[in-house]
Amino acid sequence: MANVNQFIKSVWVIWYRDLLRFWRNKVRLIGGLAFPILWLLIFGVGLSSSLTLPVPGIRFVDFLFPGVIAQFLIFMSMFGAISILQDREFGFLKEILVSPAPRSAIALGKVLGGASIALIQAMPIIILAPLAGIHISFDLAGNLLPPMILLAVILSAIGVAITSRLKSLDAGQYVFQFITFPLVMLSGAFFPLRDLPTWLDILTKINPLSYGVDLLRRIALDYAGMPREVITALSPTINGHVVALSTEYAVMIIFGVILFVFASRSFNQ
Amino acid sequence: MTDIVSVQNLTKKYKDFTAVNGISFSVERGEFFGFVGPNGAGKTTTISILATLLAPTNGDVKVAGYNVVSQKNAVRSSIGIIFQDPALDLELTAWENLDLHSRLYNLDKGVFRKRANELLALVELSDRRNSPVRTFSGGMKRRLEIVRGLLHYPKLLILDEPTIGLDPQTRALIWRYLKQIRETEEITVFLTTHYLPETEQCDHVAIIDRGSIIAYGTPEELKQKFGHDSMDAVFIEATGHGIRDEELSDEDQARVRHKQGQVWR
Repeated sequence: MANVNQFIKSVWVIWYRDLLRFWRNKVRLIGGLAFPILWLLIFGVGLSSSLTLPVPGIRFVDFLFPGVIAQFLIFMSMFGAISILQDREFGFLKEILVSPAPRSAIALGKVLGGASIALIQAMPIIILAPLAGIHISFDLAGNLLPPMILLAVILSAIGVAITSRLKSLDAGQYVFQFITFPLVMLSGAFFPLRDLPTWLDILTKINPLSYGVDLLRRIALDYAGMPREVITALSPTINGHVVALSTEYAVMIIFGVILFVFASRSFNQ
Repeated sequence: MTDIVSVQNLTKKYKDFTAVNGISFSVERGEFFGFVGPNGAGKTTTISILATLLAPTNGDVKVAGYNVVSQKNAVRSSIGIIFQDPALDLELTAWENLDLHSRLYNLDKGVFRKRANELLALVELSDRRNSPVRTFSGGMKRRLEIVRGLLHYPKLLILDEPTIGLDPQTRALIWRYLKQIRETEEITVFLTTHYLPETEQCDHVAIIDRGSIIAYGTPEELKQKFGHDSMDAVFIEATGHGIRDEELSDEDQARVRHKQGQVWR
């Protein structure tokens, strides 16, 4: 039991340090606000006047809103994972690695720290959504939270698994561009995952984010009072059947567990 | 088992480059051990292996009686280490850095507070405990790292070039602290340095060059053996007059040689 206790303590220390650093860095706090405002106002409101969806009756901004949340979680989770490379560059990683803290606890602390910060930073998107004409209630926010947590953990786990194996901050920036772009673009955040060429269809189906984005979208559009047929007309299908909500949760949880285990081995070399 | 460090036939290879080539040495409990050599000789590689950050290619290495490969955690709890480059979190305060350390080493809160206060007083940093480390000078960072390295009552304190880049006053101060610590606690100090006069105070000195230990003994023995009256002269006699690559540590050199332009570790 002493080992379990030390494991939890170690996870907590790494997590706590990340949050402490986040809280100290006011630029990051304020900078995090600019992104959602720009997206919702410029893209959401601006683009909606020139774009129409294949499904009638849904405003583009309502369609885009869950995608913006997902995209923001991707960027913030990856940004959080990059702190491992900063620690490597500035030496602090050695202090952590030379300590008796279990390696898997270090990795998990990093995953949870990155996910927590990403979630905190995503809150303004929901709070400021009315600026773009999106109706928000506490009920809706509460229902969006579970898929957001799943997304943040999955993305941070991907980020930690990759950054811990990278050499430098420079390398990190290139690798992350290469990873985040397809993850976002093939997640359904910007276009419905319907009537795609087969190769693109396969890529979107193996992207864990597709299911997270769709979960967020179903929840948000349901609250916006859209009829079910309209909402599910945007959802991914398998063999012509719309993927069930519970299946999407299950897929996310399975992805989350696999990536969590994969990330926990990050510092074992 | 009186030796705190026991190294047998240690070899570390990076692909075709051999950083450490079959060295053997031991450090007695409680002694002050100097490990010197030109840049790229294998000092930092050896220290990284002692600290469990690098796995040896070959050989048997024990620290505080524990094997550095099979008993990593026991080794990690037994050592305090001060790296060549500062390893502090600059965004946090001195106290927060120490607090994180105490949690990583699972120290009791009460023990930590008392110990941290005593050590901060010793290195004269008590009044700066709540300042962000970002605002510290190089010497202050070093002093704080000494406090941190000693916090968890290690049996072995490893210092990799602890006085590099510091002015003579700060260097003298750091040495005074180390002496005081050795008077009050049972601790072994293992250090590498470029300032040879500093090794005069060591109990034993090993000179390493090109991955091999080329001389070992007390400072007196070494001076007699090489027929010089200063450790500086002994060092130059033993390692030759040529200038070595000054820019990279040996570990980095090996990495650069083999990983140039590579993205993955």
